[in-house]
Amino acid sequence: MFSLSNTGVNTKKAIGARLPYLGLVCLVIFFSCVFFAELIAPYDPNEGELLNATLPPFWQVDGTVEHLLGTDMLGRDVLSRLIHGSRISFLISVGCISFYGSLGILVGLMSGFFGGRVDMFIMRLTDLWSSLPGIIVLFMLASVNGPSATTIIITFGIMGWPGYARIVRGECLSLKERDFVRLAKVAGCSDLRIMFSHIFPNLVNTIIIMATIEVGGIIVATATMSFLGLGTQPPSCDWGLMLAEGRQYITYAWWLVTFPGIAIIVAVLGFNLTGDWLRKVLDPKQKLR
Amino acid sequence: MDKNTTELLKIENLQTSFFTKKGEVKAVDGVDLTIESGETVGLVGESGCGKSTISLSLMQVLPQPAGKITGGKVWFKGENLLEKTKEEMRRLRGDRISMIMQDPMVAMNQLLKVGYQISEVLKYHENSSSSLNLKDRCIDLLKRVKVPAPESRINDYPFQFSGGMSQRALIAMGIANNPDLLIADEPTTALDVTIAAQVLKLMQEVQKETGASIILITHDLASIAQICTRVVVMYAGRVVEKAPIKTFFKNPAHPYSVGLIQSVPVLGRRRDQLYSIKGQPPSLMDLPKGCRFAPRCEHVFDKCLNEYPPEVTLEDRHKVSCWRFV
Repeated sequence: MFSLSNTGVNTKKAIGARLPYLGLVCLVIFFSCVFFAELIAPYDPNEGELLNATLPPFWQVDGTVEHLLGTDMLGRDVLSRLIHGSRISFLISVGCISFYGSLGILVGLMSGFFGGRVDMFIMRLTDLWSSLPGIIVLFMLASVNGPSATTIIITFGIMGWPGYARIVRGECLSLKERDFVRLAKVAGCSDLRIMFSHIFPNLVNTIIIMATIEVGGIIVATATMSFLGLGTQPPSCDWGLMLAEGRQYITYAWWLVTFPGIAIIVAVLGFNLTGDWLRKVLDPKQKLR
Repeated sequence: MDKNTTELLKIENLQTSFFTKKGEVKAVDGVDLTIESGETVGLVGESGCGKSTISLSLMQVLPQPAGKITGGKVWFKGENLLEKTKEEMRRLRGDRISMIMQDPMVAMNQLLKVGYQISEVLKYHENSSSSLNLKDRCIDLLKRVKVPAPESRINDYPFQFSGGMSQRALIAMGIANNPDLLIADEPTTALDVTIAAQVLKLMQEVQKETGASIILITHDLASIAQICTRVVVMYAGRVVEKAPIKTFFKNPAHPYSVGLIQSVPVLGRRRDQLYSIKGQPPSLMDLPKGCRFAPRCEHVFDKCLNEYPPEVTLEDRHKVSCWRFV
């Protein structure tokens, strides 16, 4: 039978055919860990029995089913630590993105909307900003404030906005020449109102797509920072920190570095695949290709 | 302040240019125009002759940063609009002067409800009352422009409206604050003929109710004939002829007006091929020295090529810029 709404059918097909099953499975695992860590995790992530130190995963000779992925050098359950670690990754990602996302959106909107000198100034500023090496800034801030999750959020927040600003500016440039913006002007709306209640809703798709894709990058970056000792500090169960701690025992306790690595891969893969899919579905120009 | 109390809008020597990488494009080059209270003036001319640029200049919503008003005066109720501040203009827009856009399907923000977009016009002007009856006023406006079931329609999004309905909603936004001047920039171009006729009729009714003056910008002479009292013909950024509606259709003076009228197909008249004015309008970046229509004119003579003709008054309110009548 023919459907009345042709576009509706196409959209449904497009969504169904390209559903990122792998990505969604990864995300479901990730988010159940984030939201139900206490329920899922078999042990407290920060308490271990030294008697049970460095137990291998259950399928190995000395392993027990009680500690599925083994224990670390302090006898803490690796699985529980991984599950609780997802929270840190998630909170830091949300913190970073809401911080620099809002900054970038604000700056980008202003740049695109006002154009001219404002635009020139802001865009040169973003160029300048992008040329700053993030890791050096992080070293600096970490040495001033002390390494912590907050430091990571602040640093990424300060360093990350130019990307958002550029994309929002580009979108804003094309949107502000559209008829509906002229109509809003003709209706007597002020610049601020046009920016926030007329142009901004049209940017939401782009912003969501960007955020989803960027989460992956932030998780990796957070792990890197923690690995270098600039991020969260022990006894936190951040994945990067777990990697760093396990590094010394890599020759005889391979599970201490392998599983946090896999956790990072799963989370990043989930966000990236889903982000790509979102872009295909939400961005009509992409859909035509 | 006014010499004539009924004079609502007086444009004196308006010049608007777009500054592009290739150079200055003089889209409107010295236009004089007077609109009286309560009259409907049709502004005709082919694409790119500066009709829409005039309306955008009046509202001061030219595309930025390319568009710029380079000279002239626009008197609206005795005040020069070009000397007003941004905030003063914002208050005027949508209140005393409003505009109906060309393509209703793209003119509204697809992500905001129709009711919200109409209420915005009401909200940002001083004469509007409290937000309590904002919804009722939206419904009332939609009723006035004959949108069926306005109570439920205000919660619809623009894509749920048909073309004709969208155009009605736009007209509702235009008349929301009972403006003195309504600029309709090709309001019927995107609509099919029957809907276009309805929309024109609606505009006429609205004008009777509110007493607003209307500038109808179009290239469709039929809609001009239907609702206008006066016609202003533009060619390449200048006004070439101003005439009352009857005179214009009976005795067009400027060769371009004659050509325009001849090129309208008439039902029942047998003709092998539709008349068309030969040639192309001049590039606005490289205008001819004399009359701008001269290269395409059938009656061209030496003087036409060297000097721009002055405006000549033929009879009462019928003015033309052509050397044949000097």
